Amino acid sequence: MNSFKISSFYIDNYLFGLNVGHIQEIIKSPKITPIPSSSDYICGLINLRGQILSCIDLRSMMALDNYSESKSMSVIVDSEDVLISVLVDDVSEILEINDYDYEQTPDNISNNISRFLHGVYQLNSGILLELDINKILKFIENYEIKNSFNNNMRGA
Amino acid sequence: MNEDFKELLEDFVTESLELLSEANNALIELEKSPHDKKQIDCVFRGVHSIKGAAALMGLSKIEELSHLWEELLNKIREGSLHINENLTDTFLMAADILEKILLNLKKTGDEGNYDISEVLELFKNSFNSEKIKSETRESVPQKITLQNNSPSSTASMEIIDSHIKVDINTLDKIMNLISELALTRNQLITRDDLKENLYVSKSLKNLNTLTSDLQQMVMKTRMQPISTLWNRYPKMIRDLSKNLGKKISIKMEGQETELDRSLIEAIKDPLVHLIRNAADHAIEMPEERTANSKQIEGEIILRAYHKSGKVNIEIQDDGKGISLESVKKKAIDKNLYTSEELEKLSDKEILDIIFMPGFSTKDQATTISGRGVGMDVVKTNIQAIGGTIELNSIMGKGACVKIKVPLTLSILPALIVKSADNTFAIPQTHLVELIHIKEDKINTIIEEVNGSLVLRSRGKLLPLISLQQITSTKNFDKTELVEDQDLKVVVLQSDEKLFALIVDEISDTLEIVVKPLDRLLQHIPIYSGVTIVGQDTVGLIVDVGGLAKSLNLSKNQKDISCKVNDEDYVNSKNNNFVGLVTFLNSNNNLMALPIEDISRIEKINTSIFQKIGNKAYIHYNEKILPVFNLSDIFDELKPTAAEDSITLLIYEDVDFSFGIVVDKLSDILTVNQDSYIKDECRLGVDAKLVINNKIIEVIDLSKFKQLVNNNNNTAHNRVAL
Repeated sequence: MNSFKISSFYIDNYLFGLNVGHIQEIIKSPKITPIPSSSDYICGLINLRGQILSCIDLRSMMALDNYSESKSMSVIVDSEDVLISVLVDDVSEILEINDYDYEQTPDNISNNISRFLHGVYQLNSGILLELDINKILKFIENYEIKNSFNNNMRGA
Repeated sequence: MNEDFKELLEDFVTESLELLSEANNALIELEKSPHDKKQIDCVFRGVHSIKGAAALMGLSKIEELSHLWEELLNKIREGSLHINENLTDTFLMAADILEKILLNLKKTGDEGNYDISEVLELFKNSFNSEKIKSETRESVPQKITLQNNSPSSTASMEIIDSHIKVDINTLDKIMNLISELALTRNQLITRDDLKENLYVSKSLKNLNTLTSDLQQMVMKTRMQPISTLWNRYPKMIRDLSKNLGKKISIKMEGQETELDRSLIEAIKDPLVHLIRNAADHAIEMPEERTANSKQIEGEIILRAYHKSGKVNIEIQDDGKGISLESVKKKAIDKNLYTSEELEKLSDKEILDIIFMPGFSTKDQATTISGRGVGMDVVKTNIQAIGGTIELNSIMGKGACVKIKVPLTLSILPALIVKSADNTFAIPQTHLVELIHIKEDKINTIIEEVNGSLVLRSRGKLLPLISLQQITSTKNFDKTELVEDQDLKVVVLQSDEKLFALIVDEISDTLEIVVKPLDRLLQHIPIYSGVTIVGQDTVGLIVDVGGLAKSLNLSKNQKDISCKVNDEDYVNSKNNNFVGLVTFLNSNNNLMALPIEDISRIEKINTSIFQKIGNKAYIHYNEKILPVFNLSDIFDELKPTAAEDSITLLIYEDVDFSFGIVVDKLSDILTVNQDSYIKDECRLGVDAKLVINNKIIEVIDLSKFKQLVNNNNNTAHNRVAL
């Protein structure tokens, strides 16, 4: 039986998680500088001790409710040496997860959410949705490239 | 395990390539002086090291090749074999194949299927042929080899030991951390409450100097001598001259000139192109050279030096020069110009046509250079890194290409502008002018043509767009402009195109540290990077070329080309033209300084002057800048009256900078240096000239430089006493 640690956080009342191995740190979101003419999924840039990182807005990517009362936190994710910041509503605890709790993403979860998931874990308190950071990055990259292609076509 | 091996392999390839390039240069030296033991030792060392490492890593081809090669070299060192042209040819060929295998190794991880049998055969033949010779030459003295051998190899070992290789990414990270350290320091030293504590303020001062020193040292680690690039050229020229059937030598001056690693990478291809051009197009065939009573051997001279904060690189040849007539003919053939248009151009402007897209003077493209993508690509590449390029030629005597590039790519002078709460940085190389349009002038200067706005400026119509319009989806039209008050417009140049950009606010010019854009954003064409402005604001660096492209500006604005950028303007007409800043001295006479030497003109409040001894200084851009008065050189002038604010011309160089106080700025002129009158100039004056019936004295800047040096010397003397 294998177990590993997942850092959990809330976005729009869903409990999401990421393997702690991917997470460099979690900070209170610093000032976000918007980038004109980028997609809605990237809400801007933050300055993390001299390194400039893109901020990803999962809320709009997953077409969740846009309104958030809670304070925003930035989860700094390290994916293949690229640091990015993922905006979340609130941070929850670090959970010890057992492999055998893993379940395939149920079909009734909307594709808007499920396409970014690695899997789902059944906890006592409810369901934890584990994010797959590579799926998220792939999606944005494809989207942005398509977007700029379209823009160019329109320009020409 | 696999990763480890890959890393090992990479190290091996980098090191071997370096050794090979050293060996190549040594081989070329050997051709000239075949008995130079040092060069043979150098080749031997390289081959020996490669062989050893290859054997260790199980690279059989490389091992086999270098083993035989080493054997041969050993024979040469012993004196039983003699180096001749055939042998160096074989060696160079071996080096070529070895390089190919190494490059393949780097790319694919295996040695590839290169055929080494031919070289091996040649190696073996060399052995055999030597056997016959060595019998006849048995009396050759062999002592020298032994003496020379060991000390030189230990000496070079010491040199290698004092250097280590560091991954450039690690350096970048250190650089990043240090800039952050500097920021944190700045936050600390601006806090007044900390200064009250004596101990803390003392430590803060230490922290301050230490951080600055550290920053400078790390900057230095990124610098590399230009010889790292030039090392490959002797071999290249040798190969080229063989292929072309010409005799060409290459001379290099200022190899120790240092520039940032990123720049070395950026100028690599343009330089190769220019040198190939010189060898292929410029240097004549030997018969032609003798017919024109030139030396049979053509010469290409590379020069590098620092001047006024820039790296200057010159590529000079003593070939046939560029025929203006054939340039003109080609320009007409290619429909770039009509003959009437060409009539009006100066010689220098005609030469500049060579840099235009789609131009190549040689009738037939050769494999060595010239497929018509040549010089315009070179120019674009140099301009992309904020440099300039200039071409001079004298018929029959040769041509010279001068390149000026900044010292580093990671720091860039830029104009900071704001638009709708966003901060943008516009690289200064693209900046043409800033225009402030008063509310009541808007209607006369700005017009609407078919839905788009144009700006009337200096007799030209420029496409006008607003930065806000680009960065948001909102439509923008003239009615909105009128409601606005004054307009701030930045005129930009991208390649040959000019356009104007409306911004909300123009804040300052700053030296910004360029940081790369995140992978997710790299495809957005209008940004080239990000930077941190001030304490914490993230600013986006505008890619002016990308911006122009995304706006789909027309490409046929030929009439505008090179007429606007001041520097281009000066260069394009004739080399003898210079720009001068003229000003009035306290006797109301006109004086001037070359604009090229002035890095900035500043209005400065006299309250920041500090007198130390009898000299004045100001704190400027984190430097202590000595300030001179014209009266320091010209005794009869009164020092400038101490008003609240004065105008300062700033001269900046790598080792020293200073400011010159002037009374009243007059104008900026472009003059022909031929009209300089050099006779009877008093001390401190370089030349006189007459413009509009007024005499202007051009000041000799070296006088001021001497003053700076004198000051330094007296300071040293004082310490010594």
